[in-house]
Amino acid sequence: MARHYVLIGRIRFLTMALTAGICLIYALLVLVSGKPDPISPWWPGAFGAATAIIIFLSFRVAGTQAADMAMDERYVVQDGLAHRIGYWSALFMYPLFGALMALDLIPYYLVFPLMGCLTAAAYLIPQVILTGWER
Amino acid sequence: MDLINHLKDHRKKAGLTQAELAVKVEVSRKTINTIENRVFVPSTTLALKLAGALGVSVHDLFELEK
Repeated sequence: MARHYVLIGRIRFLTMALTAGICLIYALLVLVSGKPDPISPWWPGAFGAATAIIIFLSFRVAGTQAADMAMDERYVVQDGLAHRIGYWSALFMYPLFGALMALDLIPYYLVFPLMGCLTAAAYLIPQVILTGWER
Repeated sequence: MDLINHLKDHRKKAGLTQAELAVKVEVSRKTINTIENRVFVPSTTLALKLAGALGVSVHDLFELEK
């Protein structure tokens, strides 16, 4: 069962990368279309929830040893770095989008979906890049 | 002061692949790889596990650059 850590690490990588992609695509579509809901606004959240469930179930099925190996101390350190990057990037968005709204460069009704999706992506993208693909 | 490690030499001497050593000390192969490439510095606990798995002392695996 120990070798299953590779498989569950890959499942985690793929699901989180997919959710990051959906968040980025949604944000891009909001900007391009000028509409707060260019596609169903449930997509990013649904992908996020599905990702959490898939990761939880795959780790559960793989067993404690494989789960511990997939979340070893290097992973925890790199995931922590991704959290820090995500946290500061999300905070930086407030003055950034505040300034963009103040300058009438972006309407307020686009800012909520944009910030929502980009806040998620601000953690997911560095997480996927830093922790990487298990080989 | 940098940390020099001889993990790769001792692992090869023991005839183990990165994946085999990873299973012995219950971490991912990537963790072994990043330690060998001096990207990641392991905790004392992991350093002791690595030394135990390879049958050497921690001082044989890691030393401070003078």
